[in-house]
Amino acid sequence: MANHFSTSIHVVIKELIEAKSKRDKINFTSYQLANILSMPRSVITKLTHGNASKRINNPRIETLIKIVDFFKADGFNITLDDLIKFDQEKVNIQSQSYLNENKILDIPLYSLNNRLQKKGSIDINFSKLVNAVAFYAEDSIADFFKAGSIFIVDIDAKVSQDNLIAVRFDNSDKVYIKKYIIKNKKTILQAIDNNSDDIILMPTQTLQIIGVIIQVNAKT
Amino acid sequence: MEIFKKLDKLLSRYFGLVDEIITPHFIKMKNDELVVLSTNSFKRHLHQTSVSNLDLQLIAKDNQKKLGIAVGKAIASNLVVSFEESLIKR
Repeated sequence: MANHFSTSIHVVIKELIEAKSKRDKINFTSYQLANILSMPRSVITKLTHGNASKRINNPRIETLIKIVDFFKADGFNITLDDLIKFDQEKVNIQSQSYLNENKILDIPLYSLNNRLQKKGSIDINFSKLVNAVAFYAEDSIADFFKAGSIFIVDIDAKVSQDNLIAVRFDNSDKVYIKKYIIKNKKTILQAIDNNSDDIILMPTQTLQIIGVIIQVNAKT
Repeated sequence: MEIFKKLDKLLSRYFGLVDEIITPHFIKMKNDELVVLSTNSFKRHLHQTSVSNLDLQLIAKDNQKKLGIAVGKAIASNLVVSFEESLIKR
């Protein structure tokens, strides 16, 4: 439960301190901030502590107002709302758990540039049997999916909101990676990179959704 | 002797004589960029790094797996990212 209600106060304050240091070309520290605000250094330290168990997560509102007022007066575009907003989009890495994947599947590997061009096959570890194929990215798809990344597609999975999908258009053999979103009764295939556009599906559009991407073996 | 080895390792890491170990804590999308909030050895404050700039060699295997699951969740639903090298059989 704690994770659902965590706020980003500590991150925002740290970002503000770093931004001030960078803008003013000085080494602005939490100690200096505490001095300016006439409060003990420990207050800022506890507010920005990296370890959640040692951090104050319910600070006094007066303390936050003082911090916001200081940075606002110093020219930063910050409000109390920005500081205390609940941080729901953040994913806690340490709370993730993984299953022991005991089934090794040999699946065919094709090129994203041409779905008919077979490049070989790869072994993947899964906890259950899936009907899958893999696509090899010759080019970078996004900052985090560089050239050489492999996209594993479950061809039997039912497509649902926010799935990453492999799709091809107008009988072309090039395969695209898009995010499937339904918004305001429109189906949108959202681009995951900066080089392509989102596509709003029209009834006339010819496309084939090959399947849902369940794993990416990211090239680093 | 074992205690001296451990002490040597600890002090070497503390004084920056060996590579630091990164512990990733949170991941989020920020301005269309996937950023990881992590801590380094002996540094308690979180710092931000883009996922694409993250040095995975400095992250323990167990944390790499957790990071991959979290990256997948941050990007899409029912997605897992693996950082393990794939062997392509021709």
